[in-house]
Parts: sequence; C-alpha cells; structure tokens
Amino acid sequence: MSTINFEKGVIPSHHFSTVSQEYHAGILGIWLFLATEVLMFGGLFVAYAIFRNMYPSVFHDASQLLDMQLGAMNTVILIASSYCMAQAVHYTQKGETHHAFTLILLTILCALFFLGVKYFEYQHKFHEGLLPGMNFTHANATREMGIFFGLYFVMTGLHAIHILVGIGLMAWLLLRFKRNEFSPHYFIPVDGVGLYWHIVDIIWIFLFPLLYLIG
Amino acid sequence: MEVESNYLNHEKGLKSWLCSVDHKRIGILYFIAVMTFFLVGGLFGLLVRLELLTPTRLFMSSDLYNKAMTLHGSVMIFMVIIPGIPAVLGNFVLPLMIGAKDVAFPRLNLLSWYFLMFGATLAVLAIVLGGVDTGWTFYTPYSIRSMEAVTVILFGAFIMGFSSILTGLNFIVTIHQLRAPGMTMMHMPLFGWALYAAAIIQIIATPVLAITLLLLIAERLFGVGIFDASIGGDPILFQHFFWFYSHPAVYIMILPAMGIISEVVSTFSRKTIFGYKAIAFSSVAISAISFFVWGHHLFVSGQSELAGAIFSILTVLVGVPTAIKLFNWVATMYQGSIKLDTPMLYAIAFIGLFLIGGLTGLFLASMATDVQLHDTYFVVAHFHYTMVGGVVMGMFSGMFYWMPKITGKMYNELWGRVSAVLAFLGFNVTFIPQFIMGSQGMPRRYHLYDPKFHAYHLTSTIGSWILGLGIVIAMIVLIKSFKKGSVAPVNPWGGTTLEWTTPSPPPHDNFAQIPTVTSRPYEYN
Amino acid sequence: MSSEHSHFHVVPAAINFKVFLALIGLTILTVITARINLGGPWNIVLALSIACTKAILVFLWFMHLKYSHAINRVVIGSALFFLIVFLGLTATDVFFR
Repeated sequence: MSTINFEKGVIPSHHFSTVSQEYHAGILGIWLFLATEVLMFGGLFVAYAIFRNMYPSVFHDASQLLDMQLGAMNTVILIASSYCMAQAVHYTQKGETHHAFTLILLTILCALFFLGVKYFEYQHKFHEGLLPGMNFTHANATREMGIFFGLYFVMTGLHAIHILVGIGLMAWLLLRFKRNEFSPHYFIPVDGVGLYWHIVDIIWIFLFPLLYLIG
Repeated sequence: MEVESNYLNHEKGLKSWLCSVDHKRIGILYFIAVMTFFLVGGLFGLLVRLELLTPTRLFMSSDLYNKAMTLHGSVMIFMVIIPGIPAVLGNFVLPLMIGAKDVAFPRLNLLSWYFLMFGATLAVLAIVLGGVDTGWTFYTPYSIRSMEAVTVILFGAFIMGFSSILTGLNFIVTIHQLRAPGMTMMHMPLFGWALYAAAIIQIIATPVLAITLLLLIAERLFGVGIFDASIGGDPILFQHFFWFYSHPAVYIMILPAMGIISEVVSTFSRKTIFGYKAIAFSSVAISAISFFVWGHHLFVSGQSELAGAIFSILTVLVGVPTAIKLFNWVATMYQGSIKLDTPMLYAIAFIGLFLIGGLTGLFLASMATDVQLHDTYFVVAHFHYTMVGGVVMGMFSGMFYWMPKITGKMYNELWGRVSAVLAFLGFNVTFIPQFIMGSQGMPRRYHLYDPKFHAYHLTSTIGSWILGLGIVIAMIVLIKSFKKGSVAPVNPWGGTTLEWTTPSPPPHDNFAQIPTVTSRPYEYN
Repeated sequence: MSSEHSHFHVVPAAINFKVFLALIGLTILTVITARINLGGPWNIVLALSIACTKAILVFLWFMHLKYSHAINRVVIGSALFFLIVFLGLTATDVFFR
C-alpha cells in the first residue's frame, strides 16, 4: 500500500496549521454532508417501507409495470461509473492526471447514459398515465398504486437531480484538471466529488431492488 | 490617537461585509438578520395577543388571525431561535474560545448566511402573497388543501434548513480539527460542548425536515398522495416525519442556551463550574435521546397505544440529563461570589423559567395527562417557558456577556438590568395565566373563545406589552453599544476562557500566535 | 484533533477492480434470485442483504472508509443508526394501530 506525504508542496489555508490537518477537516466535512444525504433519502426509504408493508400486493403489481431490464442496466452503468470515479481518485493521487481526466470523462458519460435511460422510462410512464395526481389515469391502476408511483417518481426523481449535480461537479473537476490544479499533494476536490458520487451510487443500489425487483 | 486595527475597521465598505469570510463579521451579519426577524416575529406575536384581548373579534378576521398566529410561530422558530445562538454567538465566539483563527470552512459559513437570507426572502414573499394559515406545523390534510402561499413558505423553510446544516457541519469540524494545542475535548469550555451537541442534531435531523417539506410540496403541486387518506395515504405519517425533526430541533435551540448559562454562571459566581464532565456528557446525551421521543406530539393523533407508551417512557428520560445540568448550575452558584450584572440576571431568569418549562413538560410527557392538555394553552405556556424563558433569556444573557468583546464598548448596565427585570416580569404575567386556562380547557390557536377565559387572556395580553418593552429595551441597549459606551477592557467580567485573552474588539486574525493551552477553563484565583 | 498523520493512504487499482467485479456479481445475483419465489419474507431479506453488502463494499473501499479516521465511520454509522430509529419507532405506530 502506498502513501503520500502531504508536507512537501502545498501551503495550508491561513487558519490551519498543516496541510494534513486541513485535508482531514475537509474529509470530515464531506462525510457530515453525506450523512445529511443518507438521512434525507432515508426518509423516503422509511415512507417506502411503511407503505410496502401496508399494501404488499399493490406494490407487487405496480412494480410489474416497471422495466426490470432497464433498471438492471442502469445499475450496472452506475456501478461502472463508480469504479471509474474511484480509479480517477487513485490516479490523481498517483500524479497521473491525464489518466484521471479520462476516467472522470467516462464517469460523466455513464451518468449521462443513466439519465437517458431514466428519461426514456419516464416518457413511457407518462404515456401510460402513471404520473402521480391528476395524471394517474392508467387503466389497470388502483388508487393505492398511486402511492407506489408517487414514491417511485419522488425517489428516482430526487436521485436523478443528484446525478445532474454530480455531472456538474465532475465537469468542474475537468476544468480544474485542465488548469493543472491537482496533484498528489492536493486532490481533495477530486476525493470529495468522488465520495459524493459513491453515495449517489449507493442510493441507487437500494432503489433498484426495492422498486424494480418486488416479487 | 490611533485606533487599533480590529475586525471592525480591518476593511471598510458594504462589500467587505457582505463578502466577508471572517467568522466575526458573519456573526454580526447574523446578529442584524436575527434581531430583525425577532422584531417581525415579535410583532406578529403582539398582534395575536392584542386580538385575543376580547373573546369576540376585535380587529382581525379569523382568517387573518390564523395567518398572524402561523407567521409568529414560523418566523420565530425558523428564523430566530434555531439560528439565533449558534449562528450569532457561536460563530463569533467559538473560534476565539478554542484558540482558532476561524471556523473550519469560512466560505461555507458565509454561504450559510446567504441561505438564511434567501429563505427569509421567500418567507417575506409568502407574507406579501397573503400569508399562510396552517400553523407552523403544516399538518396534513389542511396544508395540502389550503389556498394560501403555503408552497412558498415551505420552500423558504427548506432553504433555511441548509443554513442550519452548514452551521452545524462547520462547528463539528472546527471543534474536532481546530482546537488549540493542549486543549483536549475535556479542556474545552462548555459552550463548545453545547454547540457540538446541537450541531449533531443539526446534521442528523434537518435533512428529514428537508424531505418532509419536499414531500408536502410534491403533494400540493403534483398530488403525489402519500399523506392523502383519500388515495390510501396516511396523514399521521406526515406528523411522524415532521416531528422527527421538530422535536430534536427544540434541543438545537436549548443546548446552546444552556452552554451560555454554564459560562455566565461560572464567571459571575467566580467559581469553577460544578460537574464539568456531567454537563458535557449530559449535553451529548440530550442530543442522542432527543431523537427517540418525537411521538409525544402524536399522543392524540390516532397513533397506536404501543407507540404512545414507548414514547411516553422515553420522553421522561430526556428530563434526566437536563435536570443534572440545572442542579449543577445551582451548585456552582452556591457559596460563589455572585455579581448581578445583566448577563447574570438573564441567566438566573433562565434557571427559574426553564425549570418551570421543564417540569410542565412532564405533564405533557405522561400520556394520560397529555390527553387532557394536548392542544390547550397549557402546551403553549410550556413551550414559551422553554423557548422564551429558556432560549431567549439564554440568548440575551450571552449577548450581554460577549457584547463588550464584540463591540469593544461597555453597554449601558443600568438599562441592561432594567430590560432583564421587565422581560422576566412581563414574561411571567404573559404566560402563567396560560397554564391555568390551558388546564381548564382553553384550546390553542383559537381566535374566538369562551368568555370565562377573558380575565386570563386580558392579563396575558398586558404581560405581552411588558415583555415586549423589556425585549425592545434590551435590543436598543445592545445595538447602541456598537457606537456608544466606555471602552471595554480585554476582560471586563474576569472570565477564564480564551476569548477573554484577546483585545476587545478582537483583531482580524484573532490571535497573533495560536496559544498553547495548559489549564482547564473555569479556574479562578 | 492534533494527532493526524501527515501521510495518506492510496487504495490500489487492483482492489478497486476486485470491488467492481464483486458489485457486478452481486447485481447479477440479486436479479436472478428476484425471479425465484423463496416464500415468506425471504426474497426481500435476501435482496436487502445483497444491497447492504454492495453498499458496504462501496463504503469501505471505493469511499476508503476503511482507511479513514474513525470519526468518519462514526458519522456515517450514526446517520444509519438514527434512520433505523426513525423507521423502528414509526413502525410501532403504523403497524400496531
């Protein structure tokens, strides 16, 4: 296992004594932010758990209306994107910034593909009359199925917004890579965006079986 | 004579303030914002009490009354007592107190202020668009159906949540990473422990509020339906979601206030705080237990008896660490050399009033008695004793305590004391009648009421004027001290914590050199 | 905390790759087992167990939580703990009315 020595190179911000102290502060800050994401999405999972237990057959039937293969494909895409991101951090830490740049680009492409599939799925739902509220006009849908689809759209919709933000953050990273701002002595933005991206992946890891694989 | 360079004159101009990443300037920005919101929320409160002067309509329609009542609660909670102590006093004092040059993330700090202001703008927009009439708790189904500017204010609250999260995040990292050499956690002043405990709640609880508000917005805009009984949803689930945040939130409000009391009581008794470890651990214990009790707000909602019983037992538990602190403050004062300056007057007021607030909470924690008292003025009095008698008194105690450090001038002590006495007296005249009429069945949030409660309401309204006067005087005294007053010494109160070793007002960088800490706080000679 | 080390650990590329393969494998597993009716609650138990395993892999290695300061593990652990409290106590209401 290799290690990086912080002290050669970068100067810490004025209120920190050492670069290492500043780095660990940054990482702690990011984990605290990720904790808030876990709790925010967590609330949705709690609502899901409550209603699934209340209406098990409704959830089973409603889930059949989702395309499991598209969901599985998206899961694989997102896992691949996570792998690319983890490697991007690795290569930045190694000083191979060209390699890292390409990997982040790949991550963005995977993310865009994911969003494309979601758009396709949403379009289809719209045509089927499965959007919540007034648009819930699907012929075979019971009113409680509206609960499943309400949750489906809020959960995957909020997740998709997070993917979009992730793409924006990664584009920002690409810009900074181009400006040569990252090195083995300073890579925390890459590390941080990576951690954010992995949480987005983890959320989908739970969304997929809970929404697509019921029964 | 040349004025020493300090954080106030370090840079001039509006831009240097609005773009400042100096925690002290950000604390001042928050001070201006929070005091303004306090006046607005207070105005709504006075209007509510004025309307309640008579059992029948005085000058407001019932619709307007519902809006005034909702806005009083929403403004006070989201814009005053949640941010109040952490963002104003915590921001200014914490880095100084732990020997740091700033908080861990100064730019996020400034961002947190802009989030509060953005959210506040949305709240103002909601008022301009006709106001909100759901009560600050936004219970479904009415909050889904109300035709008022509910979505706007929900979005405002959502944005303000980010302000709270960022403040908490910043404080946790600051306390972990930026304590001066030699300052272990057990050498950190109790205000630091209080902010730390509150910050834990800000991180864990606020996101659940965020998703609750988003879900409510989704219900209103898109008919998502999970809280809508007509399509199989559960309106009580909304209450679970809402109170999972809002109960711990009251500890975001009170823990920092308690931290201030620990500082002030020790300094103005000139005696080591009694039971430092007990107070420190109790703070974190309160933080943790606070997440297990929210269901006591749902005792009569239709919640299961099992849940009611569990929440009832757990709620009684949270009183224990709180009581430990109260005993410890009193023990600190015992045989101390007590000075009754303004900060201490407010602190003593806190101890008495919060005690009453806490004890009356027991009647509400016990499910059997809560059935009688839920949704009555007894509850209103209980939470005003803890929120105003506790948090607001604590906030003013801290403000008067640290004002000489913040402004470099001594505020007017005579008028400070006058404000404390008026506020204390006015507060009790306002809220004691509310306990009585609540226990006799006077419902809360009612515009028109049974004439048998008239005398209580009349007394309460007169009390509100005295309380309002006291608060306004306090604010004038504090604000005036930015310009007028004798030069404040480095350590006017004989405090033992690090902020009292810097000049008043402190220089831009806080410390020329980061001190190395060798002793515990609260050691007097 | 003034005791931080000034060295930071790099997760090797080989480990990242192995984690990636494991995640794909577990995904395939969860899709296959979803089609088999295991009776009772076992389908959801299995699906959630697989999801948790995947999440742990991502947390510990992709997010290098295994090599970070303990406080970071406490932070995320607390978040998950209180989420379970939220679900658990809400359930004592909703399913026992």
